[in-house]
Amino acid sequence: MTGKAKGQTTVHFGDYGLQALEPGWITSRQIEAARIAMTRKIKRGGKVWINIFPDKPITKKPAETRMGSGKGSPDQWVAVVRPGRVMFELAGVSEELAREAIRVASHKLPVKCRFATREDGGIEG
Amino acid sequence: MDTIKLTVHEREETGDGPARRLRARGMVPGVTYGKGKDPMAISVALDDLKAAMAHGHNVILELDVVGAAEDGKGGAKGRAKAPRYAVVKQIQLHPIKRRVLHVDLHEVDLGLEIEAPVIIEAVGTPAGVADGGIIEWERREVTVKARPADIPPVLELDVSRLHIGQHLSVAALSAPAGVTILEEPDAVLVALVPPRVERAAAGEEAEEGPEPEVVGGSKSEE
Repeated sequence: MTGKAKGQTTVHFGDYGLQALEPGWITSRQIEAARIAMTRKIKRGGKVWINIFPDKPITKKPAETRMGSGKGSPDQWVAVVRPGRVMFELAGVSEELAREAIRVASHKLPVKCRFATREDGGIEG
Repeated sequence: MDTIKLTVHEREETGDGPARRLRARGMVPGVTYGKGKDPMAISVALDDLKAAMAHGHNVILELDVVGAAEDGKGGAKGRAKAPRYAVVKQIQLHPIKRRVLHVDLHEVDLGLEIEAPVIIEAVGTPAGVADGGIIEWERREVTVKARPADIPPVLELDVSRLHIGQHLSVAALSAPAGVTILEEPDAVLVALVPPRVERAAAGEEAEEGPEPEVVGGSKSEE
């Protein structure tokens, strides 16, 4: 996959975010796992935004099937993510807790990620 | 609004390659344009741009344009005529490295009104935060119309009396003299929402207290 994210590269809705540094396909299961990890870490209060949606169906042929006989059936749904995309956002929690929640969520995802803040939208020193 | 001097260099080469070489030399490619003015490709020193932007988003830049013919020749640098004034219209950043890629400068006439976005700054802590309320911003900036010198750096919004379930709209903003807010008065700016309880999925541990609200989501499993 080539190119960088064209939009949603800064934190728009919340105060903190989880930004992808690599391209990849994020499955619906991975998004859900990251969301659960994040919300469990926050425990109470706060608000989470999920900025990616798995709208790409991925097909797969059953195991031990000969080639041919048409295309396989949909197996999973993925979100296509390019470097720079802010995938999750958080608000209403302290930065320390947000960093921890983002860290555990990033462990559920197949791409390298980093913590992003709203202030990152300005000029870097 | 402050007025900051900024030296910009007129450039003749455009395109990816020349822009990349400029950035390698610590310059930022850009463009100036404005009503009744011809657009001009420029470059500006990154350090100068950073110093100018350190004064805030809404600053008037007094452009000192160095012509392309005189620039870099080492001769007597003929500075181009009268100073021109501009405001920063857009700064493009690299999505990962956050380097400045390009800058758009909007040339303005100091006597004419322009439209510009102004950031809203919350003052105080909402009373409802003690009850677990979460501040939810619907919009963090509003568009105002004013002469460039009158545009405030921020508009303050007192949120200290906000309780859970209440919101503040554009009407709660007080604009300084000479500034018109171009938004609907009843457009919501900020609300204090209660932390919502999320239904626990079967098999999940029951958490104590309300879970964070989630906006957006993934497609249900097939």
